[in-house]
Formats: sequence, structure tokens, C-alpha cells
Amino acid sequence: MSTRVSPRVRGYSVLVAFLLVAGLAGGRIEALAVAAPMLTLLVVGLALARTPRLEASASLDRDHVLEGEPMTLHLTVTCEPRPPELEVRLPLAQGLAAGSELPRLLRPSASTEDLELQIEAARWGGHRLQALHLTAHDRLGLYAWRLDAPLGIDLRVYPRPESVRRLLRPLDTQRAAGANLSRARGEGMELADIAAYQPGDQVRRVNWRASARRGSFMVNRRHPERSSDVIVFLDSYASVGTAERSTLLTSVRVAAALARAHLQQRDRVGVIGWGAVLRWLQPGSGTAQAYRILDALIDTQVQVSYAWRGIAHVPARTLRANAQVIAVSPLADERSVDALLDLAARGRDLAIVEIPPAEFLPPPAGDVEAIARRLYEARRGLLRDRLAAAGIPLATWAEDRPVTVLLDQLDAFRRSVRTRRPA
Amino acid sequence: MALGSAACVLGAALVVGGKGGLVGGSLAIVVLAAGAIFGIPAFITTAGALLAGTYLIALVLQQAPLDLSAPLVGTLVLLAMELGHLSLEEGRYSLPGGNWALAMRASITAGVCVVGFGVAWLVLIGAFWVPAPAGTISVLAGVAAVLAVIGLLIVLGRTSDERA
Repeated sequence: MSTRVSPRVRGYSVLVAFLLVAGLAGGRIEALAVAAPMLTLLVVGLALARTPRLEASASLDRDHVLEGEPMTLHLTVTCEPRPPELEVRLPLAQGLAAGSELPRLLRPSASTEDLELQIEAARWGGHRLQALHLTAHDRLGLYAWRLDAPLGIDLRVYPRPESVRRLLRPLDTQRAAGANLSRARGEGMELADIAAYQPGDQVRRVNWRASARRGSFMVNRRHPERSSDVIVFLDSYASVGTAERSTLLTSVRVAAALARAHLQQRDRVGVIGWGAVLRWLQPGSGTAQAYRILDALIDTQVQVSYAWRGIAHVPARTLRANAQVIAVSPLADERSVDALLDLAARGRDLAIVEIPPAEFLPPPAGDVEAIARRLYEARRGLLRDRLAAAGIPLATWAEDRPVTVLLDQLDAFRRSVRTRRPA
Repeated sequence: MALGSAACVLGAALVVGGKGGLVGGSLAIVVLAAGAIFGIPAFITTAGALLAGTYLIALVLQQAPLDLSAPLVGTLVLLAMELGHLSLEEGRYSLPGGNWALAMRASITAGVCVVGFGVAWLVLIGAFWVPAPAGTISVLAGVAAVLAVIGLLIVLGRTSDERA
């Protein structure tokens, strides 16, 4: 705890001393009379001041929330003896906002006060409530006692889920049951074709109408519903924009929406964080995996690196041969573009959701910047053509374009272009 | 800002009331206003010193008899300085819940001013009525000055930030 003496104490002391000396030198008793009120204030103020004992503890009603959700911080503040004024300040990390009035000046009615503060998570990420600043003042404001009580409360804010109606069909599926229609034939709901009866075929599969027409037993063959492995490839080599709105923030939101939707469809989902620090999460399914993925995503940040890394650095177990890779990238770094082209060249089932950096740039100021922006856009167009020529479906994100629309664009590209199949 | 303006008005009232030289008093008001505007506490103390100093200098130069308005001058100087300092703390009192705190502080300050005024009167009456040789009064004032300087040194020794 630190004690701060008001500059008034020093100022009045100097002034009282000055007046007394001046009165003595000038032989005027009035100087003493002028100094008396200030001396009275000093004596009364110093006599009333009592060093308090300050303590604070805090707890949050939950340790993880979604973006925009409010949470309640319970504070217990102890100040003995009870001060006339208690100032409470809680510095919030970027991305958090105070829903209730903060800072505030309290008039404690008891030595221990319980407070409830509303905090809103404005932006996803890992946030930490570092410390609570308490300042007790004496009655005349001559002394202030300040305590910086460390809180050390960690809070994880997950991106707000976006509803995704339809997902991109994988080119290949796994053996486990799921919601994706497999290209193979087996037990399922969707009719694939009709074939001649083979010994071992179940009687309930016999298509009696077709059999009557052909004069021999025909059976229905169906597509089984299977799960797929989906790898969300999150490019964090570079980010364009501000702390509140950037390509990385949007990339994580889109990646989280995709991961959630695939997990709901019983797919196994993994993550590759492609950046200066290579991070990966092996495919898995279920609620626990959803939280693992969200934790991995919100820990993503841009770090500067000049190291050139190839896709071969990703562990083979993470990037399985028949896994569908959905890359979310601003395509702002050549290393990411090369890695994606490499993936496509290896015959991977790859699709790219582009987060265009231009959406996060301020409007060009002046003719020169406008020309530079047009040149930049032209280069981006060439890059998109290059990726399309490599057979990579690409959809470009926009503020008013939901993820479902992006996935529809990818699907449309696949239907219009012959996509490479895995070897 | 309102409190700072009130402080300046008080200072101006002192000057217009003839308590102190016009030049020194005007300078004091300018310094007080600068202290309130730029948030410099030392300026407010300096303004107080200028107001009180010009008042005393005027008394000495005019060789006036005992001025019975000295307690009022001291109280008004204190009030002007307190208002000036309060204006520096307006940020704190503009916080939610700050209105009552400001009201409480103002009432306590007013109370202290009243008590200070009474004490100043007692000092003046004591000096006027108590039959004591002039030398005794001077010695008492000298002792008070020495004690005030020692107190000042103690206060200044306790630096503005103490870590406990």
C-alpha cells in the first residue's frame, strides 16, 4: 500500500511558516491571524487522518464467455477503519468493457463492502484482470492511501457462434458414421444405384419393381453417411487492420464457425495455426474438442518471423491424406500462399476462404494512394487466378456475407471446375 | 472549472476589497487561474502566498494600526486556495458517486474555515487584550515560527509517496 500526501500539506506548511516569519520580521501580529485558518486546517486534517487497512478480493461468475456476453465480477473490499471516500478503479484489458459504472467513488457504510460489477467481453481472446486499484481518502483530502490489489483472473472469450446451414462436402470420408454422404456404396439412406443381386445381399434390399421389369433380382445400393476429417488451416503470418477489426480477428471468427459446424456434424476437426509459431491440434470430435479448438484459436496471434516453412513441417497425423483442409487466410504472406499451393499440388482436398486485407484498410487518401490500391487489387486478382488455375476453390469474405454463402461459393467452384482427387 | 472560477472570484474580492496591493493581488489571481487551468498545485499555493504577502506588505508600508479584518482575510485566502485545490480534484468528484463526496468535503472545509476564523480571532484578541510586553508577543511569534518551520521540515521529510 502506498500513501500519498496531498500537495496542500506541503503548500500550507510553507505558507504558514512564511507568514509567521514575515509577521515576526514586520512586527505585525496580523500575519499570525492570517496563518491561523491554514494552521487549523493542517492540525484538524492531520489529527483526523488514520492509515487504513485495505484489502480486496474478486471472483468472476464464470471463466469463459462468448463475445458480447456480460459477466459479473464480485468484489469484496475491506477498508478498516471505514474511510469517508473509497475510489475503486478496475483497468480492463483491451477487448473488455465495463457494463456498470467504473471507476466509481464509494461511501462505504461498513468496513467490508461487497460490489458487483458488470463486464462485457467485446472481443474474443484470452483476457486477464490484472489488478484492482483502491484509493481511500481522508475527510479533508490531505492523505490518500492506495492499494493495487492483484487479481490475476483469467478470462477466455470465445468468438460468437455463427450459424452455418450447409457445409462443404468433403471429397473423401472416414469410416466412422457421420452426416457426409460417402461416394462409396454401403448401408445408408441415399440411393446410389440399382445392381444385380449378389449372393450375400440382404433380402430387404431387393428392389421388387426393378426385379419384375428385368426378370432377375435387382437390389438397391446406397451411399453410407460417414464422418470426415476437417483441418482448419488458420493463417496467422500477417494481419491487416486495427486492434478492433483486422484480418486475424475475422479469420478466427470464420475458423471458429467452421469448426463448430463440422463438429456438430460429427466430423473430426483439427486445427493448424500457420504462422511464425506453427501450432496444430490433431483431429478429434465432441464437446471437449470444440473447447480445445476454441482455446487454440483464441490464443492465435501474429508474430514476426522471416523463417521459411513448408507444409512438410506439419505432422503427418495432423494432416491426414484424406482430410479436407479449409484454409482461412488473408493471403497476405507469400509463405502461406506457397504452402497452400503445395497442399493442392499434393492432391489434398483444399478450399480457401480469403479474408481480403483491402476490407480492413482505410480508404485511399489522394490519387497516388488510389492508384497504389488499384495496383494492389490487380495483384490480388492475379493471385486468385493463380490459385483457381491450381484447382483450389476460393471464396472471398465480405462483411455482409455469412459463412454459409462462402461455402456455397466454394461448392459452386467445385461443381464448375474439375477438382483434383487425392492420389 | 466552476470551483477554480470561484477561487479566482474570491481572490478578486480580496483585491477589490482593498486587502493588498492591486499589482500583487492581480498577479495572484492570474497565478491562481493558471494553477486551476493547468492543474499545478504549486501555483495555487503561490497565489495564496501572493495574496497574503501583499496584504501584509500593505499593512507594513501604511504603518496601519491593528487590522481587525486579518482573520477574515486569512479565512478567505484559505477558502480561495481550497477551492482552487478542489478544482484540481474535479476529475475524482465527477466519478459516479462523487457528488455526495464533494458535498461532504465542501461542508467539512467550510467547517474548518469557520473554526480557523475563530482561532484567528482568538489570536488577534489575545494579542490585543492580553497585557503582555511587546517583547513577549514577539518571542511567542518567534517560537511559533520556529515550531512551524520544524513541523514543515517533518512534513516535507515524509515524502509524497510512502511505501508500507
